[in-house]
Amino acid sequence: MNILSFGTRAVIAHKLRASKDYLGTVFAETFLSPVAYLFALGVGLGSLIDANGQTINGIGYLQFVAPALVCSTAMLTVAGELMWPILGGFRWNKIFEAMFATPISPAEIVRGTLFFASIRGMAATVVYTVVVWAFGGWVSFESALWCIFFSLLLALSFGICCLCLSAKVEQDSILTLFYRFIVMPLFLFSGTFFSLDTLPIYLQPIGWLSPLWHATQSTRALSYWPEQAWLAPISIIYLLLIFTVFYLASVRIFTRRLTK
Amino acid sequence: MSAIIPGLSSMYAGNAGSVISRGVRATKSTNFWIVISGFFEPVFYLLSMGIGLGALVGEVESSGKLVPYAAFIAPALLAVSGMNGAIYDSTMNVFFKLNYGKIYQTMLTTPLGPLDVALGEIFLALLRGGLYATGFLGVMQLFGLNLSWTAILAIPAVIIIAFGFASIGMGITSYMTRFQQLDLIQFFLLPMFLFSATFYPLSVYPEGVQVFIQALPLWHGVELIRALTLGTFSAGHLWHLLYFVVMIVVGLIFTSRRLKKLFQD
Amino acid sequence: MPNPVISAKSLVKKFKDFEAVKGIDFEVEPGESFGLLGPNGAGKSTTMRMIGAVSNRTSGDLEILGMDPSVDGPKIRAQLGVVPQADNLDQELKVWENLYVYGRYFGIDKKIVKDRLEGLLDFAQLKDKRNEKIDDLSGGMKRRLTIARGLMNEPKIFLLDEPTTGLDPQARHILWDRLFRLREQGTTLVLTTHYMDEAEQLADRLIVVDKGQIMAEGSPAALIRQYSSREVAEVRFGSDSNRSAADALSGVGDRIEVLPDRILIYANNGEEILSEVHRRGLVPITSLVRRSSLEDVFLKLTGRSLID
Ligand SMILES: Nc1ncnc2c1ncn2[C@@H]1O[C@H](COP(=O)(O)OP(=O)(O)OP(=O)(O)O)[C@@H](O)[C@H]1O
Ligand SMILES: [Mg+2]
Repeated sequence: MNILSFGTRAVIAHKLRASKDYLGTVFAETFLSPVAYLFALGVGLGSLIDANGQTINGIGYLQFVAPALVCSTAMLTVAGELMWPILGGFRWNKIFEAMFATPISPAEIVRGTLFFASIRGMAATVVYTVVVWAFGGWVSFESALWCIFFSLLLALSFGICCLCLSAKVEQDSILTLFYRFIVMPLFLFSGTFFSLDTLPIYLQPIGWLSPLWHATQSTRALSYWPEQAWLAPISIIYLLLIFTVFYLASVRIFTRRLTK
Repeated sequence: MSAIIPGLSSMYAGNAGSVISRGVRATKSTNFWIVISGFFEPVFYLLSMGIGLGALVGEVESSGKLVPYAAFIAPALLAVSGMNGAIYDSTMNVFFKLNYGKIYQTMLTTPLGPLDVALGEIFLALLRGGLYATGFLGVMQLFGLNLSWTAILAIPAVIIIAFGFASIGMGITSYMTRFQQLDLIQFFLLPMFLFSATFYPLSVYPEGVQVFIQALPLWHGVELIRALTLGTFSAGHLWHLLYFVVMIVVGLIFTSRRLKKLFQD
Repeated sequence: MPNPVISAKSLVKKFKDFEAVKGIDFEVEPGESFGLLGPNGAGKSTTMRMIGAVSNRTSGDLEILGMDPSVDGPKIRAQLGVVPQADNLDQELKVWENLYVYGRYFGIDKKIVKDRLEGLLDFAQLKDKRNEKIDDLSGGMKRRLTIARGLMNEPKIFLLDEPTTGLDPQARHILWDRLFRLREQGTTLVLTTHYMDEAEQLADRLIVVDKGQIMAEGSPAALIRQYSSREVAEVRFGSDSNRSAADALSGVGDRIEVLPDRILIYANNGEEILSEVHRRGLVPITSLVRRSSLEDVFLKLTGRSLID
């Protein structure tokens, strides 16, 4: 199987062309939102926390929060790209139907849309990483690279979950509920803004299941806390497992829905 | 009435009520759960930021009073939820009705005028905002974050804040022709959300930045509500209210003019 | 003579620099059935929207029921029934709710709205679909619902912009029947259509509009008399040879119109023309003789076939 076959590339090319019109907005967003977040959380909130004499496991707040902000951007970007647009592709503009009428296969459509979303997610990630660097949020170059690597794994694995769900549902209200009750809590409770062990013990499993927590925490472990580095291989396997399961499911769902 | 405001008779049929009841009906049959779920968003934020971050931040000073971090950000989140609710209703929702649903076009073939439509839609946004505010205030009470009886006044205050944002938001939305342009709105809201003394006092900023933030509406909303729930309200806080009154009047005039132009040209 | 219910003088509508309606004059008498014909983009819908008091005119005078739409929009619209060219039903509401809510926009009492709604559902043949979502209706059902909705306020003037596009023949006849009865009750009708048989059936008087201007005005019969001969001979030679056949036919009949697929020869006596065609040694693949219709008037006036 050629994962970047002609059909896959055609789908990516189509998505790129369709998004050319709003490139300006996308770019501004990709750039401004990290600046705003880092300023508010890293600098503003960080100053309160530092003044309170607190560190997280010996790490300043800016360094602590930076990997989480980068990874969650990757996650939220692919979610935005792979939820409503997917449902819309089936229901509103019927773009998948149109693609399927050509020699492009369902698996190619799945890969094409996923890769396109990941490209967007990674563009945002890289910009974010650079902004973090400007704020002095990385302790080392490797640390930034680890963060990009885990963001990519996260984008692919979480992205395919969103794609799978959105290909399955008929109504956009389900997506809104998914976003509010799954995506947002993941963003807020995955050890993003504070260490997971601050939460009551019964809430901590949310974090262990969360792809975002795995990506963030592994980056932190590899960058700051070598004694926790064992987490990284586990996280990689976990994320790849999610990816495989949901990829296979997505192809099946796409095939079924398109040939209905 | 039309003698006072020229052209009013062509814009207003005095039947905004039918626009409101249409909204309630549509919500009942299609977006009931969405509306309910909207209540949880600020609650999640409160749990995450207030409890999780509270442990790191400790106590914060506001109007000369030392308060727990959760009590400091809860009123800010309340103000933000008022803003977001109003913005959602007056932008996403209005945009859809304007460009895809053609719902306003239909309304305007009946005696309804642009002002009926604007008032009706804004009232709906406020109704929703008011419900969220009440629910959130209940959650705050549960966590012991309301430090004074004046907290109850936060409900009308949130409604006024929402009114200000909704009346302007609708007019702005009417300029948008494509979905992606709506992101521009988020683009202004995000920094406002992050910087308006929501998560930490304004005093961490240099003087110049402080003045800039004080010109933005959300800061006024946050200060007003915070004073009410922490019990530090005084006559000095009334000018925040005045800010919103001006915003409402300007917004209404702007929006109904826009709608008239949009539909009747 | 009673006052006209609609009176337009030098009515102009501009979109930015583009003049969609270029100064047209017409009047519609109470109880009259008035038709607008014209090719795509002629300015029919634009005119209808100005009459409907939803679109402001750029210049000229317009009076609806004695009022100026740019001043008394709401008062005028209260008396109008509107069927726009594109259905604009409320997707978020069910079938019956669409009628109910629409009635409430007019400020009509709840009980009265509920009463009328039943009759209108009946008329639209949607009684068994009353609780469906709009998305789940067929195209023609949506059209019927839009038409029924326009009658909710028992209008004095009923504006219909291509009402029967997408309707099956049965639904079309039900609508015609309803329109006849409305006219008997004194409702004024203003309609546009691309079906010439419909215009002949429904309109007492017509204007033919092209590029924003009025090309002709009169009753269907008068227009046919004025702009066409009594009969038409239609001959086909196959798409490739029509042109050359037309050259060979020059001088036959009063006028020849060459369409992509056939040639129309206008004359008082069609059979005589066919004989003349054969006499010139031409053998059409098919041929027929018919009476002149509005379609011929349309072709003559606008110089192109009906549906571009
Ligand atoms: N809102 C608008 N903005 C710009 N141009 C417009 C607008 N509405 C109509 N036009 C233009 O005005 C002209 C007349 O349009 P109109 O819709 O009135 O045509 P019509 O006679 O109803 O045609 P059809 O038979 O296709 O319905 C067209 O050239 C159209 O492009
Ligand atoms: Mg038209």
